[in-house]
Amino acid sequence: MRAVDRVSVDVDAGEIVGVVGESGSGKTSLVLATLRLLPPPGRLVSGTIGLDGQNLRDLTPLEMRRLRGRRVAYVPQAAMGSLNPVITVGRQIGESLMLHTELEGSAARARIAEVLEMVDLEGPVSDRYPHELSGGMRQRAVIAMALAPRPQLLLADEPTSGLDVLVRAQILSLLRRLVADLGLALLMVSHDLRLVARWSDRAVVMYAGRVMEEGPASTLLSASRHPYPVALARSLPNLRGPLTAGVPIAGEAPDLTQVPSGCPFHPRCPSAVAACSEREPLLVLRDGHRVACHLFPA
Amino acid sequence: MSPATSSPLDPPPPPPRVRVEGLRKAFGNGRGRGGGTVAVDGVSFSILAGEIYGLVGGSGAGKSTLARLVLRLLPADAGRVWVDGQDLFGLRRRELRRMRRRIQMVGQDPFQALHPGMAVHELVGEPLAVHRVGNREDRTEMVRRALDEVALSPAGGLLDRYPNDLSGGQRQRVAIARAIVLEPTLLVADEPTSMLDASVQLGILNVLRSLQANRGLSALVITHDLAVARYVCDRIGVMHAGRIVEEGPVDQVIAAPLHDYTRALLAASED
Repeated sequence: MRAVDRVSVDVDAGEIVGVVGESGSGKTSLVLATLRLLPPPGRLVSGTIGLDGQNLRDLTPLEMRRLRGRRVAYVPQAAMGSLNPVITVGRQIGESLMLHTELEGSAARARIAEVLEMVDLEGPVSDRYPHELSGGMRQRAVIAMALAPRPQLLLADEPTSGLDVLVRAQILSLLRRLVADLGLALLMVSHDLRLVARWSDRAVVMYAGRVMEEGPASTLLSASRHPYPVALARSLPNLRGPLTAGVPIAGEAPDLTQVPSGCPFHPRCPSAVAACSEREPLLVLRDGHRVACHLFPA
Repeated sequence: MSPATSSPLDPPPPPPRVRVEGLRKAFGNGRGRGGGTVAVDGVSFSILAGEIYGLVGGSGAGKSTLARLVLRLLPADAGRVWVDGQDLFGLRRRELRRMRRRIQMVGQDPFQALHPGMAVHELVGEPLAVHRVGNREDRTEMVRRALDEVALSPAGGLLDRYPNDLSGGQRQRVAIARAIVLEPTLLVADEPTSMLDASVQLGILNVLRSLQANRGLSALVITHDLAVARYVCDRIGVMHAGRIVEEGPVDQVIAAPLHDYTRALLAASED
């Protein structure tokens, strides 16, 4: 079973790349593979993971372990689950510094205060336990912990799932500001098309483990080329104008053990032609979009 | 209807199917750290026959607590609920049991809602058995009809399949079929699509709309998503901190929100 199949994604410093897909599209596996943390029996079969020109697949497990957290940080899906309930927020950030940096004593304390300020948490939060914080504050604390060792790349899996609608916008604008201020590269994974369209610079649309389209996030809802993101955008209920622009997509995303032949989306695709079930379309670049669809030949 | 437009010859307006008045619920006794929390703080609204009413708001607004009070799954501290003119909180055990046939619920998570050891036909038929409705043939027919109404085709041996073999969207359809098989007068749906993939969400909302059109079903739909509310609800109440801060026809509330909280919610939901 190929959870992630020939996927290439580049993220620049100061850039947010949003990976959007439904459940089973391979977006979380992509993040875990990048960290070389795929749970067994999962394994990375082929491909490269480049960070500043270095291939992370060449690193020994020990070197990889030193790199994780220090140069590549990860913000997992549920903030509560990634915080230790019996240790104060400040000490947890301190642990991250102890593990990943040389900072100690007053220098470490200064860095803790600095990262808390960066995520708009007030000093006293340092002495609080996770259960004393709101969901939004916890997510800020997790982001502070990830950023404390000054990573270059941040991987965030559904960074706002389970948060209130209003808090969600605050967390995303915080991330955007941090990316700009720190020159961070952010790879953000989400199932929410609108969220990715609004808050990332580039969008990568995944389906059945493959990239269907990649392009500017600002065009994701209105000017995608591939029939899958087009149909997805049209099936969302609207807040203004017509209730929706279209109809629901027939069927459901495939089980990865039974991926359809050719283009994996062809059984649900309103524009499918004979070739779609026979040959897999290649990703081709056309006016700023990479698209894998027979309707858009090179 | 305002007095200015009604003449003595007009029939009186139909009584609401559900009337909620002054519901209140607090958790904790106020002696612990942080004191008690008032989850629902004096809420009143009505749902007409054939109407879908939406409760919209952020996390912690009290939406789900309110739904549980209306279902009498939680005792209220104060307030009353009438369903078809009957005082829900005044019902005795046997009357309540009969009433339960008429108020059904669909939850948020179709992965937790279905017993993994029961096949689809057992899951959808179980409420009929519990309430001793009809004979075996009647029940088979009612199950078939309920599945038909949620657009699940019995083809491909669906009736004999178990939840693990079903996708999220199919599971939620089974959960809805299970809720409507007793032909309830009120369906309470708490975030019915928030755990589903985008491509199947609209299909589930369409099921609710067709139940409203074909069966005259009344529903209380809870959602944090104003676009979902717009798609499926006739009227909405915007909840914040345990109260309904604004209520009206959904298009009107979205086009011309009056309360600051509604405006903030809209701003956060805009593209």
